[in-house]
Amino acid sequence: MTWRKSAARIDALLAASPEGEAVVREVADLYGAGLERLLDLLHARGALTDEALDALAADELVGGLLLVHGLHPWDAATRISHALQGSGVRLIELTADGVCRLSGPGAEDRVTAVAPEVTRVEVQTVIPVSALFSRLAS
Amino acid sequence: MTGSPLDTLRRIARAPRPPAVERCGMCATQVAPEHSHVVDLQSRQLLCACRACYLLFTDDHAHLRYRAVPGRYLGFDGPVLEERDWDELQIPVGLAFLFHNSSLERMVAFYPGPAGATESELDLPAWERIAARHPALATMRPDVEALLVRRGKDGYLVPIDACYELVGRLRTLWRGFDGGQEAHAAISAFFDEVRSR
Repeated sequence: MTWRKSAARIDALLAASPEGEAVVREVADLYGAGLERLLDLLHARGALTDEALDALAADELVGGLLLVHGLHPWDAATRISHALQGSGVRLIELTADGVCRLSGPGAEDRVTAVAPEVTRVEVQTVIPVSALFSRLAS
Repeated sequence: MTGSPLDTLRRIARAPRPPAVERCGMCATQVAPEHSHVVDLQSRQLLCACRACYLLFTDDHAHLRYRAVPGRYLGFDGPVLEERDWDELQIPVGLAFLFHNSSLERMVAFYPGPAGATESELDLPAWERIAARHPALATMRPDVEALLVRRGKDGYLVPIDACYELVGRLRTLWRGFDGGQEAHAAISAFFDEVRSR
């Protein structure tokens, strides 16, 4: 997917010349203002239906850019639950101070990718009974 | 924590803004808060200038579009303009700056107000009368130096950017017809600074 390569190239270029950050900031601000205007214009014409908004929010690139500019329509818990789909891991709790509790391991990156407000990811560790027995045996 | 490929953009876009730095209007290099200016003789705008670019435009006689604003301050004894001069200028406030505009090839007078600087008619005989009383005015350089005067009080030969700085400060403070208390306090403070230069 080319947008991922694009994002990786931005990282590489900025790592090589950090002074480029000022330009990136201005450009990002400009595009952010454009995205906001775009949503406003659609909303004013009734075109921003729940279906359309959800499609934008669920798209990894568009949703990611909306998140960059603080324009994402979903709250953090909704974004996390959506990102966890198909991983076999559930969101148990998201506290007010940003601690995210998951039902199992392996999905931490999915969470941080869609919820920058999360300060810590905790995985509920329930040791299966069978594992206890195997440890005793060894 | 690793996350989205867009993390870098997010970090940059959400980061607190660094204070805006001033840059040279010629070459865009960063300049210190205290820096010189050059005048664009066509648009009459002031441009911030780094030392190197500033020095390119210090020659008064060069046929260039830009002119470096010098740093000279010169005081005069007593009021430079007499009551008659002020009456002829028809300036509604007791503050004005006069300079020679080389594009128009004449002296011009401006006074501050809520909209910035406003031009007032200054006829040649009036200026010649003032200049005759103060020989030092003959050394005033066109476009880049100005005579800054307060009615019934003091007058100074100052760099033109000082006049625009004063106009800028007053613009936000100006209330009503004569500027109001805050504007007058700002004028006093500004003239104190000029006197100490």
